[in-house]
Amino acid sequence: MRATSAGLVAALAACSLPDSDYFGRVPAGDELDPRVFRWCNFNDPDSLDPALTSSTAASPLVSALFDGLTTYGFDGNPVPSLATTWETSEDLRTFTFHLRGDARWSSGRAVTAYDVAYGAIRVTDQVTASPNADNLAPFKGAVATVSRRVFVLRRAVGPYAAGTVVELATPADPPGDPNRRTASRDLALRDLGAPASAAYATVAAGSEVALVMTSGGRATLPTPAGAAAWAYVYRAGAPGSGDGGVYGWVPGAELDGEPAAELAFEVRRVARADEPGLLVALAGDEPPRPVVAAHGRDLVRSPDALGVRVPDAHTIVFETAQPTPFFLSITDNRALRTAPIEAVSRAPTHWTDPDRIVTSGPLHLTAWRHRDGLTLVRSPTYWDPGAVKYERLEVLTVDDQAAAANLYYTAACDATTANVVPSTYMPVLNGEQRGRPYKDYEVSTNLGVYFAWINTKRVTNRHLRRALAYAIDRTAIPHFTHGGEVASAQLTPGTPIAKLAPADLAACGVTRDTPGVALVMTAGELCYVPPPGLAFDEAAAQREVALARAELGDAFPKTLDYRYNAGSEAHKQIAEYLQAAWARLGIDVTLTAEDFNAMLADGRAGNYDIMRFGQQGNVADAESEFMVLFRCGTPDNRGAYCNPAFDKLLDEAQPLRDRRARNAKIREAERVMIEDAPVIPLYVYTLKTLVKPYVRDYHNNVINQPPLWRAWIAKP
Amino acid sequence: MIRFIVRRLLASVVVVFVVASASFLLLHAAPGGPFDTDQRRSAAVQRAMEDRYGLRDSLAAQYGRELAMLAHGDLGRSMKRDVTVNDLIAQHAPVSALVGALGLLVAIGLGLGMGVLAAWRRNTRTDYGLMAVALVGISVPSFVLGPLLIATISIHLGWLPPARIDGPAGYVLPAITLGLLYLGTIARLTRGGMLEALGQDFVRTARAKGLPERTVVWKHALRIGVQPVVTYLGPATAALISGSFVVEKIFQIPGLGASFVDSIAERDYPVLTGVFVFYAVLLVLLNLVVDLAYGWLDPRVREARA
Amino acid sequence: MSLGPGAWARMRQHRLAVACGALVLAIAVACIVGPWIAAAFGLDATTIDARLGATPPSSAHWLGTDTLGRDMLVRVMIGGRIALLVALVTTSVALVIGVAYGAIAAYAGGLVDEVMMRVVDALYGFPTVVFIIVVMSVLGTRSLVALFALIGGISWLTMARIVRGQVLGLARREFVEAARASGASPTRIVLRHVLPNAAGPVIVYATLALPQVMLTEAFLSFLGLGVQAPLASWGTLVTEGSSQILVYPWLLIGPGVTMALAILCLNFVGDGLRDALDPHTRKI
Repeated sequence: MRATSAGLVAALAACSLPDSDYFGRVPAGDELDPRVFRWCNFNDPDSLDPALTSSTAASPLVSALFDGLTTYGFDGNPVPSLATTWETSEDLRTFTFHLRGDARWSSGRAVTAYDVAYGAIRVTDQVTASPNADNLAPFKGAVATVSRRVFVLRRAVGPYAAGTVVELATPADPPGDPNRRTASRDLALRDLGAPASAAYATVAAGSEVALVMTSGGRATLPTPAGAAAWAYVYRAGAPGSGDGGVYGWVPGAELDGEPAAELAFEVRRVARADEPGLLVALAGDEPPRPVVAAHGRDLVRSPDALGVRVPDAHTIVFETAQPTPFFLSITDNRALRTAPIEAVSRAPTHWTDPDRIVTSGPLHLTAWRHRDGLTLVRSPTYWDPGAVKYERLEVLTVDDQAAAANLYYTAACDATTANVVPSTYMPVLNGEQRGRPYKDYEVSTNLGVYFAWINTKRVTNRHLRRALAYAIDRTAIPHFTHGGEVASAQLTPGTPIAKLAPADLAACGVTRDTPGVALVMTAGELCYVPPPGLAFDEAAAQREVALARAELGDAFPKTLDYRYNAGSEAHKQIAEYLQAAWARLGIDVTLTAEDFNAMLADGRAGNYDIMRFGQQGNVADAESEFMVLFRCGTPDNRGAYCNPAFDKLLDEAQPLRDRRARNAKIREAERVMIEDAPVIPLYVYTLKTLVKPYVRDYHNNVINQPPLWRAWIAKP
Repeated sequence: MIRFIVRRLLASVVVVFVVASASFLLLHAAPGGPFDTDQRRSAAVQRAMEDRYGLRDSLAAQYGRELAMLAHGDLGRSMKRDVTVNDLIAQHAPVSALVGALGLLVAIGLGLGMGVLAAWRRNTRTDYGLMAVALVGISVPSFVLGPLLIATISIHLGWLPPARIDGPAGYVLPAITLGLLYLGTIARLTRGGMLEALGQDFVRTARAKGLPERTVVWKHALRIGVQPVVTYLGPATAALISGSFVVEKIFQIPGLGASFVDSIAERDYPVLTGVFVFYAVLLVLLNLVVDLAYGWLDPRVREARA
Repeated sequence: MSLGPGAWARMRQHRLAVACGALVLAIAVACIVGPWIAAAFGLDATTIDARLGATPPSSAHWLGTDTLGRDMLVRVMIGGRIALLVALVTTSVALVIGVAYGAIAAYAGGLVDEVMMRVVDALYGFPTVVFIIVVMSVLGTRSLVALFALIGGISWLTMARIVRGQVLGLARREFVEAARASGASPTRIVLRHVLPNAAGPVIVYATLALPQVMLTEAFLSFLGLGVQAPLASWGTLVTEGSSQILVYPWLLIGPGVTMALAILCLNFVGDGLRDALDPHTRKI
């Protein structure tokens, strides 16, 4: 027995990591192959379809495969790509993009503004059920389009002329879909303008299809010369079955049946701000919008109601209901990446299979071995042939952190995606254990905050909530998360002020020794400094808890429950740390680990007292990414926090065109919220990557969108 | 014989129905749904996503749809990944099967050898040593053994890849980790069986005839001594098939295990039900094969069935 | 087959088994008493010292500290309490179900026996571990009681088979026939005459089931489905430790060696008991 344990100890001692500059093996120069970049990714992509994917694993791949009007630069800010120039209207509500003429799909067809518009139409169609639809929420009519509450009049009804955009006047669900259609003859689904003989699918006469759009609309492809309008229809598969349905164009006249013609709707004109085509600055009162009765045959759901217009093949115009200073950040989002209509139509759920996929980005997919890896190659049709320096990107799919670190260690991959290193390796990597960090270990700030929700419906006492927040010494947390996380009592995340560039310091209006973080919105120009939160203060915590006891008396909770998701050592350790801190205040907290989905369900149902959470931003904007979480009655407001003063400040910020004035209002709102303590911010996330020394131009950015196609391998 | 098989296969239809229903009800009873997210999402988008899979229909309607699809051999479409469940099983099950088979090969090959040797040299140091090793194999969980092997052999010595199967070398550590778990039991079973066989009359007769000990042990005694191992192989294979996901995770093998475990956490109803049904069918078939093999080895069982 | 003095003599001859039994007992006692003694020295399993973090074994912390600065020796002892509790309770659950099920099947005989045993066969073919994982996940929150019920609920199958075999054999023996002839009720016959005589194999199997159950619990801990933090069983500690062997090897050595010793020894004790109580059973 003793021999066994002695052997075990010896074996363990032998396997501690050797001391060197780099973590693991660095292949020698003659071993390197600059034609292949091997990248360790975490988890299999959920999908490569820009409309359907929502995972971190897919995001950098999708932006490499599908071009956007803009794309991610090194710092995460949008840079010109498909669009070379753009104009923004004075009121920040109209955005016009001019597309380059030399962009091509991998099928050879030119990439046009219609492809961008089609992407937006598809994402906001309810049938697509795109998780990214909310990313287009600033567009006029986008939100109402997803819930099918907005229509275009096909003929004059009451005081409204044909073509008027109307909305459901009642809060109830629409009585049905006016776009249901049937045909008395078989429908030959095909590409726009193609002869019936070129059909790739047929819909039997009498079976139902849904009308998605018609040609010649504001944002849809022009009708073929000399023909009447064509219709783009969808034949659905059974829900959940392996049959994903099919889309296709048919001459509009062939759709001669309207099952929903007699459905009764109550509609009215949409508010002026939501009216597509109304480009003038809004002033004065809203003219009256009488409610009228209409029938299914009077209405059509149409992309015309979406604030997107394509005046010609190389120009696209977007309209938003409110001034949207961060609009450019939407244009590189996956929700607005181009989608190849011909490929999508034929196989809506599997057109991204390697043998079917049609791409427009710098890389093209040639193989996808599920849960194992993907192979992407330099796209021969991309408009910038010199953009990609390697020939092939090998994506190694890994779903275990230790395995990812080990693969990198043995040089099976040249670089890793962010945060694949287990927290237990961190003390070695960051130098805590050896006295110096490894040179290939990179840490950068992430636009994300780790916090704990307090359920204000259950923990109603403001003093108690404030006591909970004051009690936590956040500075200790990085000592056991080890990833260089930035302890913070502020909700909006950002870069530590001590690390800001001098130009940004000036933009933020702070001095170097100001504690806390600041969110740089435009480098050297615009900056948001969140108000200080309820940072660790033992005396304040004691004071607040005494006040709470005095106010609550016997109602002071005997025990509170803290929920976190199981499976992560860090969540558990933080839970244990918080529990110990609250115990010192005499507040007994029990810990409950559940799996992630159960925790999310409890969060949505308000079935918790305190719950660990995190929020990542896609855009450097405090309001649209973080403050919206705290508005009264939204589904994302898991703490059920509601303070009309907070909402009012945000509402006042909305129409402001001066971005500094807007920031000031938002800051005021954040201060109101953080003082009410519906949330206990704990730290700002970091992105930790491992990058071999011979890899160039592979950098992560605050929104975790590394431009993979820009990386290359330097052979010494 | 045919009647026996038919009866068992009919029973298996019942098992599959029960498994499908149980997994459907269990997972739907679980808190949370497949489209819960920590990302921001409006109610309209959430509803659209749920409607795409008919998740807001009544549970009975969903259940009926699921059974109808199952009857057509359509296991549905994953709600979390861009793949049908049929494709998913076709892609991942063969990988699991190969790694499992290799593990079993290690376990049987070494386990039989160790067991025979221990029985042959019973109550010597060889015996005690081998049986101690077998016990260690039983006592060390694969999630400890795996990382230990990786730390020593892959990281420190650099002999074998630490994860993934990018070539034949990638199979070695997973097969050992998987095999060692079953090796201990197989060795102990073989030893017991062999001891019994070596004490029987026909072995004594063979010895008396002056046959070399080697022949007696390997040719005569082993045939009888191996019988308990055969009985054990059924449950062992079953456990290997449905239980190898720990090893798959540690070594990043794209087998069915990861899909299955993820489907539980993600509430991916079709994947869970599909894989569960697949496992059940496989287990039913395996048990049938084991029973048939056992009947073939032991004539008494065969007669009892006829 | 009996539990008489002969068995004890045979057991004592099995010196390894006796030594192992003593060791398991010692570990159990240390786990139960140890934390109280440690408390006298100001050590407990929950006080967090994040700035101290993980330190290797020292005179202050014999097994080192974990990443939150908690003393590993105390954590291992507390973990032992939980592991042993889980093992004992779940094995008892399995014992009760298995004995009752097997005895009823054997004594009822005929169609009832046939159906009950086919159910056992079917459950053998059921992916039970997978089933536990699903149920534990579905329950959402993790409670010790659920853990007991579930692991116990899948561990009774072999026990039921063994008991049924024993009872079938015993039912034809003279003393049972005599009891039946004297008009004793079936329940009384089973409880008073049959079961006590089947105790040998049942005890042996129970001893062998203990380490198996501990491994199952460890496995569930690996999947994050075990006991709830800040409680930590050996399984939890070993899982955490094995993910950190490259960095803090002592986090695996302490709990790993203790748990491996306990499991190994329980197996040896089981072997010894079998030789002593039930020399004819085949070794598994």
